[in-house]
Amino acid sequence: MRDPRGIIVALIGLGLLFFTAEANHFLALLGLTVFFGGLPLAFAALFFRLRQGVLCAAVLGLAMGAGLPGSPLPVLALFLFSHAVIFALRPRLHAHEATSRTIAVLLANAICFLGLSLLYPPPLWALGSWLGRLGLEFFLSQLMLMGMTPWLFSLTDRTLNLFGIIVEEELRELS
Amino acid sequence: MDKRTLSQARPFLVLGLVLLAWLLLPTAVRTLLRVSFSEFHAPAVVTASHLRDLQAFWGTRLHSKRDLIEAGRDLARLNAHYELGIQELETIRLERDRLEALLDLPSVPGYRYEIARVARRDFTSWWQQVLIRKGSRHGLEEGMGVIFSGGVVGVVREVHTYTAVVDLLSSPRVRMAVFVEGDDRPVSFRGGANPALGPAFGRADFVPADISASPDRPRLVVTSGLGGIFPAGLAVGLIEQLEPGPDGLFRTGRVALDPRLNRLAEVAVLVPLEDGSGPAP
Repeated sequence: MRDPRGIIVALIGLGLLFFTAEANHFLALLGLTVFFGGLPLAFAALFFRLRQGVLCAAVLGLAMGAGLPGSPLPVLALFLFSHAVIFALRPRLHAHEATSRTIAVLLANAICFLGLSLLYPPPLWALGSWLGRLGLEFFLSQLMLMGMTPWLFSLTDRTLNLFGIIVEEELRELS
Repeated sequence: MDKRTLSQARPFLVLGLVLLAWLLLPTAVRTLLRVSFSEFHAPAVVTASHLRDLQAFWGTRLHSKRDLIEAGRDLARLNAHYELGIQELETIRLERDRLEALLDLPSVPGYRYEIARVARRDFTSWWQQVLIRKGSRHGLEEGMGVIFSGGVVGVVREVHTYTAVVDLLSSPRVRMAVFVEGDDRPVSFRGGANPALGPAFGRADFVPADISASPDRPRLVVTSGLGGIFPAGLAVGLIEQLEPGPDGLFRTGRVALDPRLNRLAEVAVLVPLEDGSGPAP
């Protein structure tokens, strides 16, 4: 493959999803989970060309959707939609600024969170306790993402550097 | 439409095209893609699970010999108790077989217990499932019942070569006919939710109006044996309160599930025996 960046970020994203699932295995004791799917999506949407970003979002969406009830299509569509929103907002976001990156990640994650909640709704009679847990998990996930964003962006950036890809320079050229 | 608007609309256009391409893909390709992704991440999940087991093993090795001797003594007592139980069960099984033959009754379905370690607990707000370390290689099939020491765990939803996904009892996807203990009229059970910092729950519908339950005197809900997935009499949960249903003829109630479901480490899959003989000891 001539340009492996989409696959590299997808692999980092898969690693992140794996470690999140491991953390959720232990958090299940408390009846809690966290979700960070928006993090790699936002990176791909902020720094890559459309094709590479879509490839990354599609791999992540299919990987996540494959293990869930029903068809993986809704999760694939959700991840692609989240990527598309951040990509469309890219001209207004300053990708080289830490605050803008964090906002993009939080937005991408919130879209995925909301989308999954619409895709997998609870029975109406259990809505109260479901909303309570959902709110707590959303707050926890977004809070943790604020701390994780600089770290994962830096990790991804360094990994891409190993393959001779300098995304920040390319972004400057693109803009 | 100016260039900038078009540029911003491009990702959504691509999204539409990708989704259209997915819908147009033949089912075989879609299934292959899905299975490939599932089987691709299975080794990583199973390896992590084995590492946790190894960690637990080394943790246990730190216990003193005195602790181990005491645990061994307690286990010996339990084993003796279970030996007696097995003998009693064997007598009951023989008596049942004799009556079946005498009255020309259809035989009660038997099961083989396939013990499996839980590789991953995945209890989100959106779905509640566990991944177990047994799959089609071990004779597992979709729709089989899964139990643990506290009663019913759920139903096998997906089977891969070495792993299987089980829908937990608290998942809204799980529905079954149950009995309120001491009553033989079927009641409908449906999974509900798994709230934070508390036990999961489901709901019982179509409970006959003459059955009552209260937090002081909760009623146990057990499997009915109807449908053949679970044998009759396995614990599902406790009804702590019943309210009149919308039709006024029946009652509905919240079923509190076993809190140990959130800590599952090992389960048993009920594999039906083809010859219809009783469960293996």
